[in-house]
Amino acid sequence: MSLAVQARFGRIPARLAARMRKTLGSALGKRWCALGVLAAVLAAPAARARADERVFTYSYEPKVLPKDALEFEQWATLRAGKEDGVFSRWDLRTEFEYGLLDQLTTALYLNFESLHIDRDEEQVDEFEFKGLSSEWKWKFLDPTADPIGVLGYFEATTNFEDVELEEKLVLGKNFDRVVLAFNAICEQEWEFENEETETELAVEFTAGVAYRFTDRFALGLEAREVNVFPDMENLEHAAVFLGPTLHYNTNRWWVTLTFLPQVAGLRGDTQDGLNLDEFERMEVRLIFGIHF
Amino acid sequence: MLRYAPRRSHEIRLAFAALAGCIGAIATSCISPIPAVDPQSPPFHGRSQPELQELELGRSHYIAKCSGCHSLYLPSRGDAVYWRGWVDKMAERAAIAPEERQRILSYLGVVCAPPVAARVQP
Repeated sequence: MSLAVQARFGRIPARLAARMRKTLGSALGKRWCALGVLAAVLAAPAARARADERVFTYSYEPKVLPKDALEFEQWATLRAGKEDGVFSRWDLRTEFEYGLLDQLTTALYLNFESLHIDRDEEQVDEFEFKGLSSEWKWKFLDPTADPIGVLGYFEATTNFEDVELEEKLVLGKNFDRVVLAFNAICEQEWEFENEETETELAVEFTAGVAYRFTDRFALGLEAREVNVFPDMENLEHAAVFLGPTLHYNTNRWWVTLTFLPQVAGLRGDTQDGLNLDEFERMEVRLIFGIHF
Repeated sequence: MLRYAPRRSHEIRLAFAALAGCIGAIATSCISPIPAVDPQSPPFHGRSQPELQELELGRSHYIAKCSGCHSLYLPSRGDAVYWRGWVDKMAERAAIAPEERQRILSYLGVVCAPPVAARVQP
């Protein structure tokens, strides 16, 4: 969770399970309508765009677009479930990606956040623009043609109040119908306030394995281990997520869905073995791409 | 409240490290399924140096242009007719220049599966 959200809402009390259905219903209807309109408007100018296919949603594969190719993707990530109360946060990202060279791809993201919190002393229901991201990927080795695929990744995000930098080492290998991926991720965040600057460091590892049952359909498993170092000093929070991923593509569009429940809280306050203070009970990510 | 689970934490991180190691170990032990342009191997034996250079460029273009939007398909997936159809279909989407398209087809034409009619029927 970002520093801003933590500072604003802290630990959330009260009645999570009983109200989850209500939360999802009320928050999502309006959000999905807004998302659909936004996606349609933003996609319209990308007449030659082509979306690449992603078998995983948390793990990148060592792939980049060919030179001069364009891509459009829409991301939606739901994080839901805290220690108490109702909590659901949607991260929406609209991406335009362009191949500068056959090995180098850049992308621009528009980020939005929808937050719904319902607790005794406070109700929050908001939807806001969360800034821009610039992404750069360089492919060193191909996951099929070379012994192992290697890609370097850099991303900078700002909403003009805080800055986040993210670096990834992406490894992967394709064995005919089997796809393997491993990412090592380092993320730094600076939140600029009047008197002081809050900082945070996160170190994350993700891995995925998938099998392509047909040319159109793949089923896999993704894992994610996250470590959070507030003030970039001591490790205070860590958790592991594990769940299935499903991919389907046609010649015109593709979609990948991952359901990632938290399976273990490794560091920090835990409840039933989960860290629900810093992280959520479950995450769901959907990425949808359209070929034009 | 459990504050800290060092042993489990250590084991899970070890599992991630082991998985990364497995990917590396398996990967480094295998031969590329996209045949390299080797003058000693049968499909390339006896070809002139300029021809081999063109084929090498064709292999590079194939890897660079065809691996971004989807995983790279093995050349043995189809014969020359099959590949001509697919490359023509994908050339515009992947922004493949005409000379690059020709080199890709030349390379795939050498390393692809034999024509259907030439295959031994069961």
